Amino acid sequence: MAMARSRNIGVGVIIVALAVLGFLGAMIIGSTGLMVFTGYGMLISIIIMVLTLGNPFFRLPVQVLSFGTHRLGIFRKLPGGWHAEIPRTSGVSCALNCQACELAWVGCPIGMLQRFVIEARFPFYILGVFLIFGVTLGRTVCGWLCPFGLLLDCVNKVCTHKYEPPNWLRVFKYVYIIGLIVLAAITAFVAYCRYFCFGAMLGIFPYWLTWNTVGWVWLIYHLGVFAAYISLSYFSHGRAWCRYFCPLGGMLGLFAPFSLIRVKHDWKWCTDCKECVRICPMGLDPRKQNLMFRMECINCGRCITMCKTGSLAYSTPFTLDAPSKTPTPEGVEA
Amino acid sequence: MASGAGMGRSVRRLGKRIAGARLDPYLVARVRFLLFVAALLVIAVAFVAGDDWFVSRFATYDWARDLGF
Repeated sequence: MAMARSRNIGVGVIIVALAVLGFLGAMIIGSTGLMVFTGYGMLISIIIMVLTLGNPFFRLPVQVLSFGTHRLGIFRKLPGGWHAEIPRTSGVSCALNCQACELAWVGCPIGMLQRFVIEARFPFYILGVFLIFGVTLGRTVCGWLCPFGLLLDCVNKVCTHKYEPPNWLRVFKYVYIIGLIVLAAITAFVAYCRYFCFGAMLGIFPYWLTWNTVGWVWLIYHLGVFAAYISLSYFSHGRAWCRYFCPLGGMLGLFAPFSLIRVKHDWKWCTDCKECVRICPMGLDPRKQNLMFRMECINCGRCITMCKTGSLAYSTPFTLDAPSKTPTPEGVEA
Repeated sequence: MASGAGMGRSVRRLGKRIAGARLDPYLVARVRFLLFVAALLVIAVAFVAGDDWFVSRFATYDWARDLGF
């Protein structure tokens, strides 16, 4: 087993190295499109490699790194500006939250989708991005990369679980997607970003703090929206936004059942202790492995950490189809 | 004619059946491959069709000012 795993990690390292070389090549020839493509290829392959290790311990460093990367854009607003004259800033990607950064390589797909609708153009790029992320990472993006995910994981530590919304409410995020598209078509305006986005607070606060370009009214309004979502998470679950509202998570969830990365379960070693069900921040039952689990699981790996028997493990293109830990359930000889 | 409550029950039952469905691993692998090919094709079409109008549009700060940033 150990030998097989080390060989598999080797494959991951080669893929990461190829993506890094491609990224450097793109930087040398100055192709923004290729840089975006190889940059995300690098990120995806790094995460697949980390997951191959089968240890969710690495999730927090990846989340913190991702949070930092998504906030790099604010530096260009500091006095003296960091590469203020360059039309693209290396490393800044707003793929997961809007920070209104004109220097970023890519923008939030939800904001861009509305733009495409307003301009009456078919969103090839957006569809391509959702497809490529969906079939590779799926909702691992939510669990490992999303900057709000990091905040909500902090809320999850202290939330009260007083209110348990029904499961069917998860459909609401798809209603949200349809609603924001219809709203953009009718109003010809990115209404969702202006009024309802959870991420707007993260976007505008650094600007208000560093450059004071944000009006008080908008700051207070978005602070209220942010507080409302956080309160919901506090009284129900840490990941309430991801479960019921996040349109980005919903779009990724459509393709997540076919993603390369998933959490697999083996009944052979399971003692039915239900610890995995209790600990799941998304309120799922990893033992069922049904369509809802596939669409909603954010691959955070908390269930894998909690499982003492090794019944749960990550399944990636580089892992063998066997539990990653030595199974030693009670009453069963290893 | 089905009553509102009956219809609601049917929808809930259908929802539960879809949520509880288990996917065949071979089907998943095939669909994944097709989606991956489709993703590359769609991105290629986007580049060929010059669908990058938003790069110039978003390279300005004006749209962000409109949002109160």
